[in-house]
Amino acid sequence: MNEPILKVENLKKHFPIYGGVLKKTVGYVKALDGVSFEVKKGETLSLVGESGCGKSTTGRTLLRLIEPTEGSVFFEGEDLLALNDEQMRMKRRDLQIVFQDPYASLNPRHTIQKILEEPLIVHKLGNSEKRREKVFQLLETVGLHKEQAKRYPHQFSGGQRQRIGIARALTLNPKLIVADEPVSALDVSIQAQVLNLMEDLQEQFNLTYIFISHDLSVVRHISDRVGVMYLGNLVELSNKNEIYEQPLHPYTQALLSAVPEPDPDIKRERIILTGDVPSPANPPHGCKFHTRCKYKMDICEKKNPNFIDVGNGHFVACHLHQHDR
Amino acid sequence: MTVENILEVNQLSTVFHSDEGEIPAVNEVSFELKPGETLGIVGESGSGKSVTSLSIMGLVSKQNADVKGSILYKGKELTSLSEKRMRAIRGNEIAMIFQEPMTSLNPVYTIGNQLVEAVILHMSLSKKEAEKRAIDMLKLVGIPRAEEIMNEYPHQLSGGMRQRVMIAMAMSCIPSVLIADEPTTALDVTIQAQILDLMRKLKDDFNTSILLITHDLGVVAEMCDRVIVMYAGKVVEEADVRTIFHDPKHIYTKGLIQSTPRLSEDRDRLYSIPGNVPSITNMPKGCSFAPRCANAMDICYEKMPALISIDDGHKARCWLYDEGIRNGEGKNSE
Repeated sequence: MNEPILKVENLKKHFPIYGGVLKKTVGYVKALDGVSFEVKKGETLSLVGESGCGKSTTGRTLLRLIEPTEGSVFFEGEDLLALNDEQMRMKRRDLQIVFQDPYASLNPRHTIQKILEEPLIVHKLGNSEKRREKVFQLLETVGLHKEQAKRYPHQFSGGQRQRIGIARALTLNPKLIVADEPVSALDVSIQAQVLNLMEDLQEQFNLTYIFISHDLSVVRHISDRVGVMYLGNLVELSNKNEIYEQPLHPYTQALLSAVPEPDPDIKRERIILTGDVPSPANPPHGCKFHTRCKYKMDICEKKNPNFIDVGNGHFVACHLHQHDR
Repeated sequence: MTVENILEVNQLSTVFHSDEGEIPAVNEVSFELKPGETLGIVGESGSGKSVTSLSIMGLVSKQNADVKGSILYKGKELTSLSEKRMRAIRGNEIAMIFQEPMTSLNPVYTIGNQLVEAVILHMSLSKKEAEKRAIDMLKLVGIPRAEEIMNEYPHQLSGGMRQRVMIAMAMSCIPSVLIADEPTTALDVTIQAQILDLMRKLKDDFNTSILLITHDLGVVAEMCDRVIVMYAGKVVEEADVRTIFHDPKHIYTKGLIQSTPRLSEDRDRLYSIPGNVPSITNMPKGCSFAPRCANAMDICYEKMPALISIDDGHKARCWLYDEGIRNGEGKNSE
């Protein structure tokens, strides 16, 4: 594929923890602790991981919905973190987001017409006639009827609401969409409809997706490349088939083996991870996964492994796969 | 059949009263649960699977709803029991775990307090003995530092730990039936794997029958012996787990399985069932799945089909399997 549309370098977000009488900073939650990756034009890069791994924080910091602590984000060669508020606001025409919960992300007091034309008003595009036309066209694109523009969000089902969320993201003809758990709140039969719609739209408008999800089966279906996150870091990143067929990181292996398959005849060897994910406020030293890893070596407790390319763009951060070994 | 059923649900209907009229959430649902068996109830939101389980537990408010039909537990009719007698069964012989362990544990009492309460209530043990039993249960469900956890509050535990506490509480009186309503839906996959493993182990140890309510076909395939599929308040298919996945008969079951993405397989395009689940207050006439069904015939829009027996233990609610229709009486409309 061609050159990267988005380049993220060493992105960090540390949320301060306040405590004591004077509300002084007593520590940091390292939600995102140095993440680097590239997204190529027209591809779908998925970020997967369990709750608290930093996948949503990644999506939000790179759009600067949350300001990162450190790092850089290059979009089409331009450093987004160097832009001032107004410049960033204009840039958001190219970078949009779809949220998980279509119930919470649509204003219940606004009609669909108003929700969908608002981005156009904010960016001073078109007159009211043109805007109305655009709204009708958007509704049709996502498989709804233009008559529905007068209705309010509560009059739609969950799946329809997510279509509206997608339509809103499309309003300004973006180049990149961050989709943060877009189908997690939906039933399977509706989930399939929305995933198919997203794939159609990607082809139609040449969109690039960053798809954030905890559902590994959905991710396998929609992605070109997949990044696996654990406690604020990427631990493995590769094209889809390599991740699913030949996972290298012990965490990826355990994660994949834990997914129950909808087929009673498939019996896989399951790697049961013991214990919980450690707290991101107080992560383990060295490799953060060593407390749950069955291959743990002495070096894992001391040194955090580098995130390196082991061939064909397959990145992994694990001492089992470091070149100097 | 020689095995006696531990639970028999017959023509269970639960109708809620609301300002907008009667809401038939569960409509003539029948099934049986055998000792040591895991029966899965699968369906999407609004299919009535959770209300079915609440009705069995007698947790549907009598003021707001009518529960009709019969629920036989070890041959005893539960629907006619007094609240007091029901309380002796609930939590003791039939226990339940819910999806969200944070909302089902009391945030202002310690874990120990809540565990001991159930044990004292049902097992007539002294406080000391009850505490010992509670600690044993916590250890059994794999909670480290059980003695310390007894003095901690729910918010101090992670989601997986809380669900383990819920399971410890549910299993503490060694119930014959465990109703698990989406027990792992709120959990991460690696934690889900731990919890499912634990449930299987407890089932084997205590020979408990499990009624597992879930929307996750992966969990069903892994855990269940038999499955019933619900749609819009009705059972649309019932079979053993292998038959459900390899030879489903109802179009809805087929669609549900086909639209689930798989980890082991990369398909170009997902099958998707067209349309939406009908609103429960505004059910279509005839088969409630007909408007979304590719094989719908004229009769499907007229009359609701019966749950037709196809094979031993395999039933489907679809006109396609009706004798008369099969012999060519029905005409395909599309």
